[in-house]
Formats: sequence, C-alpha cells, structure tokens
Amino acid sequence: MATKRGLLAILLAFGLLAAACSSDDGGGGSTGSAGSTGDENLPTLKIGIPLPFTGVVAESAEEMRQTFEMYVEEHDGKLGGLPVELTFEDTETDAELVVTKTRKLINEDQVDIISGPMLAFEGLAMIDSVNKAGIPWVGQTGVAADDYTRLDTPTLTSAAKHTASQETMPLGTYAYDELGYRKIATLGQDYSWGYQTVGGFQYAFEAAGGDVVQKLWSPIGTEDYGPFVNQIDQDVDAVYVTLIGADIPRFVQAYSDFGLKDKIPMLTSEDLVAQDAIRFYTGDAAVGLTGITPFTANLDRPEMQTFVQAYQDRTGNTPTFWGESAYVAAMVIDRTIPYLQEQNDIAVADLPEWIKTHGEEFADASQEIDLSDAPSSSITVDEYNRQVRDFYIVQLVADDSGGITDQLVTTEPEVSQFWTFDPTEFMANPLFSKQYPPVS
Amino acid sequence: MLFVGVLIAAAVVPQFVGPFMLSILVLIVIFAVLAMSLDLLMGYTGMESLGQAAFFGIAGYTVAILTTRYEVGWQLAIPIALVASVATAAIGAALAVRLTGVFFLVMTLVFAQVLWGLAENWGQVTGGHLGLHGITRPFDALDTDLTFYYVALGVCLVSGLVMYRLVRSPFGLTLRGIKDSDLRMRTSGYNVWLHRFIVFVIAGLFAGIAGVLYTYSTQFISPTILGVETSFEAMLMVIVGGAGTLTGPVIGAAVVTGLRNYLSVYLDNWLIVLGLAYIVTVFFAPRGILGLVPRRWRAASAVGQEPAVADPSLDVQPSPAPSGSMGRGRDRSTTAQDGQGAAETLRLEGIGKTFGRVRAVHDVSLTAFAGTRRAILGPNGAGKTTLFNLITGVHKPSHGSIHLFGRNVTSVPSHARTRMGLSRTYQITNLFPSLTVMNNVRLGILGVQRQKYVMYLPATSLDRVTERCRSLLEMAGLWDERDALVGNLSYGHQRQLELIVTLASDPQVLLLDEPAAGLSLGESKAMVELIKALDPHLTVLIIEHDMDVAFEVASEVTVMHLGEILAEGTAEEIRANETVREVYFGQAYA
Amino acid sequence: MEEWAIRILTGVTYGGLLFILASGFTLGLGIMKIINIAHGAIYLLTAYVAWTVFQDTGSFLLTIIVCCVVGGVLALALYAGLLQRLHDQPLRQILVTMGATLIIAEFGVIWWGGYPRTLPPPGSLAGAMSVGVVSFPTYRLFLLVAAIVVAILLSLLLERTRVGALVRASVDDEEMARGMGVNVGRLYLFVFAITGVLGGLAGGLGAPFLGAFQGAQFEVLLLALLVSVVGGLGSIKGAFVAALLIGVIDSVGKSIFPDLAYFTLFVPLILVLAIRPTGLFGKA
Repeated sequence: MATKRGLLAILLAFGLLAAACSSDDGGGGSTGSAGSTGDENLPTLKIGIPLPFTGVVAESAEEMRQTFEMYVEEHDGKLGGLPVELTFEDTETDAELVVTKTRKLINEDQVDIISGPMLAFEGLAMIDSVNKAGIPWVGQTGVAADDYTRLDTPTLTSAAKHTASQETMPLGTYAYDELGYRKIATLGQDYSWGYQTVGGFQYAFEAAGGDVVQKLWSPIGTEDYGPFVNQIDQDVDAVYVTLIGADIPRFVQAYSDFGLKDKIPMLTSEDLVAQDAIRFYTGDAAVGLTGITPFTANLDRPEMQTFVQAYQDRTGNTPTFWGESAYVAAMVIDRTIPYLQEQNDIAVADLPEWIKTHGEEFADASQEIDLSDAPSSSITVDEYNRQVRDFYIVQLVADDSGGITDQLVTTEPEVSQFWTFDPTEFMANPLFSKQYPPVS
Repeated sequence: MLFVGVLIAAAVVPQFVGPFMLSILVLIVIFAVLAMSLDLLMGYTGMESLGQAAFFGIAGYTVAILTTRYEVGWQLAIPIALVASVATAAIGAALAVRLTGVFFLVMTLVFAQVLWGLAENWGQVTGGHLGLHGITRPFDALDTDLTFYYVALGVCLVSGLVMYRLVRSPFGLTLRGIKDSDLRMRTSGYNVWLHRFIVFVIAGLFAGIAGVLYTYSTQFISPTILGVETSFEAMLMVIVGGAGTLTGPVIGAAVVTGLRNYLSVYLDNWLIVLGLAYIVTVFFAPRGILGLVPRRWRAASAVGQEPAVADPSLDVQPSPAPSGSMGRGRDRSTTAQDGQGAAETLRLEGIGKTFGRVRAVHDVSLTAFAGTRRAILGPNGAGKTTLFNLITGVHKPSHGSIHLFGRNVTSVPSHARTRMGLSRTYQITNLFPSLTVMNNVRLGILGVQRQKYVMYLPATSLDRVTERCRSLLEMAGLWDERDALVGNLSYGHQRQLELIVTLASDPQVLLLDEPAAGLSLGESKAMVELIKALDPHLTVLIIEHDMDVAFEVASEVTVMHLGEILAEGTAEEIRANETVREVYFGQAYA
Repeated sequence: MEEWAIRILTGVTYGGLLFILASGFTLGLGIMKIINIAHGAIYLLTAYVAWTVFQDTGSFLLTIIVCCVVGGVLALALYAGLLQRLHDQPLRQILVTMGATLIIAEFGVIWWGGYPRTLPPPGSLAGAMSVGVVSFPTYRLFLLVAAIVVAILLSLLLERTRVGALVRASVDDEEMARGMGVNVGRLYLFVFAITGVLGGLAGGLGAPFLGAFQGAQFEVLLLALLVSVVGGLGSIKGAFVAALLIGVIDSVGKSIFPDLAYFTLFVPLILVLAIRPTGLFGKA
C-alpha cells in the first residue's frame, strides 16, 4: 500500500543516514571521558562545554575542543588532581540551542563547572541559566565583551580571555606615539565587538592627542565593500579596521583594488592578523597590515612554541587564539582547584560538590592562581576577574613560500582592561557603542 | 479518541522525563502554536507564507525589549507584544495579500528579512547581533521548568481550540473556499482580499502568542529567530505533519523540533538529515504524516453515476426563499422598464475589452429586463465568455459602461456585484473540489450573507442556511450526494451543482456559461428543465453552443462574432438570418 | 564629481556581479517556472571549487570552465533527481531544493571546512585601470563586461535560436510540443543545465569578489531573488536592469545614508513590490 511504503521509506532514509553520520568523527555531543584508571578513590569532576560544532565557525570550535582535551591529557587525564568527565555540546551557532544545551549540561548532566562558549552572543545566552545554577563559569573566547565587567555574573571568570577594548587601546596609543598618526578613520563591523574594539582604539588614540575624524560601520555579511572603501576620507593618516569572517578578505581585497593599500596604512584588531585570517588571504592584498593580537604562533616564547608544537603533533594544524583560550581555561580549572582545596581545607571526596556550590569563590580564586606560563603570555587576573596580559603588535609580511605571515613589531606588556586609564573614571564612562566615543 | 490520548500523554509524560527532554517538550508546544498559525494560512486558505517568523519574532522582541530595557511588567508587556504582532501582520497583509502564488511567497519572505535586518542592525533597541538576555519570567513560579511547561501547554491547547473553532466556522469555510477557487469566491459575493487580510492577521496573532512564550522560555532572543530558516522550518512542520488539519502541524512541530534538538546531540552533520527530511517528505509523504494514516472518515465513496435526471417525483419548485428573506439589503434603483413594465436589470453601453492587440469585445450594447431570457450565440472566439467576465467584473472594460439595476457598476468589484444580485456559472466547472456538495452550496448561500464573517460557531449550526441548502439540492436531485466531495462527483452532477451554487446567492440576473457543455442528452434535458423552472422574474443570459438548449430556454438571441454583435432578434429571426448561417457554417452552406 | 563617478561605477559594476549571480535563477524561473532554492548552494560549491582549482593551476580560464561544468552537472542532478517530477508545483520545488541546499552546503563544510576562501583577481585582471579621470579596479569592470556578454548571449539564445523558441513553446503547452515531436524531457534538461552553468559561472567569477563562504547559500539566493523580483520574474532584460539599478542604489545609498546600510539593498525591492509587484519588466 502506498502509505505503508511511504512510511517505510522515511524510516529507512533516516535510519541509513543516522548510521552513516554517526560513523563520522564523533558527533558534537560526544561525551569524552578523559579519566585514567587507577583513581577509583577520586571523585570525578564533570565539566560541560557548549561550543558551535556545526555552522560557520565549526573548525575553530573543534580546535577549542582539541586544545582543552590536550591540556587534560597532558595532565594525566586530570584537572586539579581530579579525573574529569568532559561533555561537549553542539550549540549549532544558534541562540535557542545555546540555551537548551546549557540547561541540559547544568540540569541533566549535572556538571560541576561550565566552560566556554566561543561566540559573543552565546555567552549572553548562557548568563541566566548559569546564574540560576550558581556553578563556576570559566569563560573562553565568548566572554570577551566589555559588558561582562558590568554585568551581574558572579560565578564567571574571564581569566582565559581579555576584553574587547583592552585589546585595541594599546594600539591606539601606539598609533599616536610611535607611528605619529594624528588623523584616523575607522571601519567597524556593526555590532558589539566592532563597537568596543573601535571604541577602545579611539579612546586611547584621542586621549593621546589624536582625532578620529570618520567612523564607518558595515553590517555583518556586507557583500560589496566598494562603497565603504570609496567613502574613506583620503586625508587621514591611517584607517583602523575591525571586521569578522568573510568580510575580512572582501574588505582587504577591495582596499587593495581601489588603490588605498599603498596610500593609507591599515591598523586592525586581532581578527585581521590572526592565524585563521592569514589562512584565508590570497595574493598580497594583506601585506603591510598592522594589527594587535593576543596570540601569534611565531612568538619567540618557549611556552608558545611548546604549545604550538604539541598541537601540531596532535592535529597537524597551527593553533590560533581560539584554541589557546580553551587551553588556558583548562589551566585555570586545573590550578584553581588545589588552591581552593588548600584555602578551605576541603576533603578530596567533597571537592566536586563544593566547587559546584561555590561558584563565586571559584571565580574569584582565579585572581590568586599562577598563570604565568600560559602559552601566549604571562596572565594575571584583576579584581573583576578579567585577564591582564601582554599584547603583540604584528605586521603582515610576505613569507618565502609566497604566503603571508605575521612578524612581531613590539610587545605591550601587562595590559589590563583599563589600559593606562583610571579604573573608576573608565567605569564611569558608558560602554563603547556605535555612538560613543563620538566622531571628533 | 486519539486526541484525548495525546492530551493525556502531553500532561503526564513530562513528569517523568529529564530536564533536557522537558526543555525540548516546551519548545515543541511553542512551535506547535506557530505551526498551527501557519496552517491556517497554508493548509486552509492556500496562502503559502514564508513570513510567519516575522510576527513570531516581533512579539518576542517586544517582550524582550520592554522587559529588559524599560522594565515593563508582564501585564503590559504581553498585550503590547501581541498588539505589535497584530499591527505588523496588518502591515504585512496590506503589502502581501493582494499578491498570489510566488509573489506572495517572496513578499512574505522579504518582509521577514527586512525585520531581521532591523533586529540585527538597530542595536540600540534590539541589542543587534548579540540579542537581548536576562528576560525574566512573569512569575517566580514559572522559573520551574515543569510549571512553565504546563502553562505553555495550556496556552497551546487554548490556541488550538480557538483555531479549531475558527476553521469549523462559516468564516473558516470561506477560507477553504478561497483555497479551492479564489475566482468562484469572488463572483459568489466574497471580498476575498478582506478574508485573506483577516486570516493573515489572525495567523499573525497566534504566531505572536508563540513568540511571547518562546521569549519567556529561552529568556533570550536574537535575530536568528527572524531568519529564513525559522520560516522554512515552520513550513516544514506544517507539511511534515499534514497541512490543513491543525493536528498535523502539531505532530510536525514535535518531529522537527525534537529531531533538531535531540538528534544534534548524536549526529555531526545533522543538516544533511534535515535536508533529506525536506526531500523525503515531499516525495514520500506529500500529505504529511497524517496523510499516511488511513483516513477513517472519507466522504461517501459511493457517488451516484446515474444520469443526472432530477427525480420527477420531487417538486421542481423555484427557490423557496424570496429575495430579501435572508436579511440583506439590496440597492436597486431602477430606472427603465421594458414594454411590459418589467424593470431594467442589466444594461451594457458600448462595452469593449482589448487584451494587448487582441480586441476580444468591441462596442457591445445590450439591455435586459426582469424576466428576459436571452441567448448569446456565436462561434468560438466571438468574445462571449469575455463578455460575461466583463459583466461580472472579472475583467475591467477598456471602454464602455455596465449598469446593474440602473446603477453604474463599471468600477464596482465582482463581489459587490454579486451582492447586488448578479451571479454566473462557468463554462469550465468552477466549484470547490475539496469540499462536500453541501459545503459548496453553503458557500454559495453565505456569499451574500453577513454571517460569512462569523468565527465562533460551527458552519453547520446555521439552520436557515442548512435548510436552504436542502431545498436547493433537492431541486436538482443532489440531496443524497450532499456529503460527497465535489471532486468525486460525476461530470454531469458537477454541472448541475454548478448551477445550484450559482442560484444559492439568490440572483436576479443570472449568467449561464454553456451550462450544458459536455452533458449527455438525458443530462441536457434535465438541465433545461431546471433552467425553465427558474423564477420567471429572473433575467437569464445564456451562452450555448447547443442550439436546442439555447432555443428552449431563450426567447431572444444575440449573436456575436469577432467581439461584436452580429445580429439580434427572436429565435426564429436568428434562425433565418443569412449572415448568421454564413458565420456558423461557412459560405458553402449559406 | 569624481566622487560621483566612482560611486556610480562602483554600483554599476556590483550590479554586473548581481546579474551574473541572478541569471541562472531567473532563467530557471522565467523559462521553466522552476524555483531553485539551491541556486545559492550551487554558487557556494562552485566558488569553493574555484578556489581549489585556481590554487592548483593558476589558470583563471580553466577555473571558470571547471566551475561551469560542475554547476551544470549539479543542476542536472537536481533536475533529474528531484525537480523533474515537480513541474508546476512551486511549493514542493521550494521544499525539495531547500533540502538540497542544506545537503550541498554541508558537503561544503565536509570538504572545505568552515572557513571562507577567496581568490585575488587573477593576473591580468588585477589592479586598477583608468576610466576617464578616475582609477578603478579592473576586475570590477571585467565583471560588468562579463554581465553584458552573458545578458546578450542569453537573450539571443532565448529569442533568436530554435532551441529558445522550442523551450518557450514547450513551457507554454507541453502536450502540443510533444505532439509536434519535440523531445521535451531532453529540452528541459538542457535548459536547466544551463541555469546550473550560469550558477557555476557566478561561482567562478564571484569568488574573487565575494569569496566562498558558509552562508553564501542563503546570501546569494537572497540576492538572486531580489534581482529577479525587481526585474520581473523570468525577464532577462529585467534582471539586467534591476541588477544595475540595485547596485547603484546600494552604492549611492550607503554613502548618503550610512546608518541604513543594511537596507539599501532592499529599497528597490520594497518600492517595486508596493507599486508594481510584477517587477520592472514582468508580465502581469
């Protein structure tokens, strides 16, 4: 009968596909258990990590999983002396799923610590669920927004990621003091990350004495950057740019095509000079770009080289700031636990439960631990649980094999989220936005 | 019954499932409301919209913005959000409803896209790309997911029941009529645009309700909810479940939402499965899951195939309900009268219609009075049907004017003309094939009634309408077929029904377009009897190729050729006319 | 003055790209009344292919040819496998091609990963050239020229060749055409393959401009839809004019109303749908 045949066909199709797909590399929701044997006396620490394993940034999410697991494996399958059970969940780059999966991790999987996420909007989607549960939240790249300093997120530590404006303020000062620029135009992606990185740059640049005379904003996914390039005031000394994703090569190419590349130097956020951005440049349109970044694989720092080598051995690829953030998150967990255990004299068997119920203490403890051997820089944590670290100003140059690589120009050491400004004053200002700081 | 079983399951099961499954169940309930709202449009009215996400999202965003930015309490936030989705739906309807098919689809899609763009780029208000978080639920009690689930379930049930009543009501019936034949509805007296507008806004309201629930559920909102994928998924839910059933979309919502949230835990390239779901559904289950379940109620499959001869023992009475008895007014300022003092009903003055370079009708003038029986004859392409289309308002004349009961109706829309007392049958049967015979007649009657807008009572409860249906159907000997789906009727029965449905609107001027087309001898005779038995005061214009039928019914004849009137006169005069014979039979036979 | 010249040129050349992106879609819709949602996915796949082929061979010409072939084959597969049985069923076409889109895009992820890829404009087309007093990127001008050539060829194909006439006849009245001995099935296959070739051409030519990226399957589709609707569903001439118009409004609009940058693309669409829903050159 036609109807039965139809039903059968559907079931068959789904069944076959399900079989085929699950034979791919373990699905986004795989529960990796990295505990080693012989520790039956030790309680297991459960960690939940939501990441967008499906979608545009899937590759970077995978990198973050790999580095986190790598850290755990380097430490005998344990963090803080406890064997860990890692549960990664796929958020599919979708806000609704971020919420569902976070709730699943907290309520169903009963994780003791939650770490992640990767993207900015994912972080915001997690806040309510995490606050309700009160468990520790070791933020990764997804908590970069300046907002978190002012938001009510008591169990969050962003020791593994700096803030948006923190990154670009040093570049702003550098542009004025060292490069001698006085007038600058900016182009930012029209959303929070763009506003805050441009804002940071502008704030510092203008505090030093410079003027930002033009601020352009492009919607995410703008197809034709010609009109934007055309609008740039040709009188300026330089252009500062924050863009993400496919917009980066488009703009960089258009900038070159319209002849501005050789006329007006470009200063950028980490996005345009990061390892993964470099991967998608072709030709020489990107040569000469100067940007500031927390991470470069070429850094002549032993911890970095070890990290890069280990990752390359593991996966064959070079890591980026994405993976490092996850790695540092694991490090934070690893070092906070013994600290807390000692401080509060907790029996080992009670540790996971204690951690789960003392989210705020956990987050605050990140200020006390030693993170001086993080791959990209020695890290300390300020009173807002935000990262303090070194930043690197790099320039993109052509390498011998016809590609592009980044070259260190200078290091800005121990940059906090306030840069050289008074914290109270800084906090009194509104968050950097499309309107603030205003054009000169 | 199945419904009760599902209800019990929905109430009881959540007590036993884990938190993750519970959160999925909540989402299913929410998307069920969205899918049902789309089914109102798609399954019942035939309006395939890719824009429901717009109203879903607007309501969600309104709640989010009011709650987080302006600290408005839920008592205000929810009503304002619903008003917002209704208002937006009204705007969307104004833009989209007059379009059909692909254009409508594209317009709804674009409308949602523009709203997405607004949400994404108007960061100050909407939070832009990152969205808004921290939306608190109305009551602390709702923070418990189980409680929230029951509230959501309750809302879903109520919404479902309201929509269920709506589709069973007279208004609901008109929607199904529009889906089957928009044209027939227009010439039966329905302001189709208005009905579509109303249902679009109603669907928008329910989408908004779902949106409000959604925002409170996830306590977070971002522009993706307004994106293309949401609209497509809503459509998939309707189709996977079974369009036009209301329960189908609920099943569809369960399947799609469940798979999406649940399967993605285990599968990597989950999108391939989703893609296959679209394809497999279209080819193997085009009527959805419900379509695969054998229907236990089918319209009587035994449909009469005998010649459509009216039962001679039945009184072939004229329509028992005289005009005006159903309580509607009629504007009939008559001016002229014919020789016997009968009022003028229809007058055409120099009517013409040109399509591009084709002159279909040119300079036709004609006057008819109460009781006129005039045949319009002419070879194919003479412009006869076009003439009817002009009279009924399906086409706008290129020149000339039309007067009904002395009033100039040249710019008056079709449905208004029908309400004035004009009605027509179609050369190619134009009925509502997916509806029963009974409902076809009901629609014919309701076309000129205010009750067509009633949304809260079942259509079957309008007793006077039902009575009138009965007498009309008995007149044609079709009462026994009343529950048959028109699509299953024999051709002959359909032609008879065509006439009945037209008569149902109680016309004073009746245009019959080849009523005997394709009928056998016996069937033609029955048709002729029917027509001859009509109220002698009716004006009847009849297009026919069958001369016997034409001359039986009509006393006057107009012959058209190449868009113009060739000859006019009584039947005998025309039969004797040389030019007419030339035109019909060619020179050799003249 | 110079500023305006650049603005208009920028817009017009973007319009050229838009036309090429939309041409396959419009052809399918106008001639065969098929709504191919997977048109954007064809772009995505062929743009990635372009990247790979160009990386390996350095020959832009070869890249374009390969892209066209891949696009054509993909379209054939779509038609033979899915769309053949769905003539005159727009909703089913949409659903089925939506499914295909998801699958194709996912294979894009599997084979090329999630990162965007671009090509630089190839050798001779790189850099800028002088147009009057202004200096303007050569590749963009090339796109405009390419668009004009495609528009002309397509019009000729449809209006002046026997094949074109046969296709139009078959779509109008398939039974008649069959009765006259036209192999309608093969004809349709041929035409739909052409839409795929155009889609592949778009991928090859578009890769240096837009790049190959996840998300293209919807973005390019939206652009194609935009152009087709404004121009009039199925009108090649309309699509061409609409594309240029949209490009110019986008370019000029972004400079004058920077805050409304997202909407500059939609303004023509909203206007057209409100005033003349059948599009600039569409038949009612």
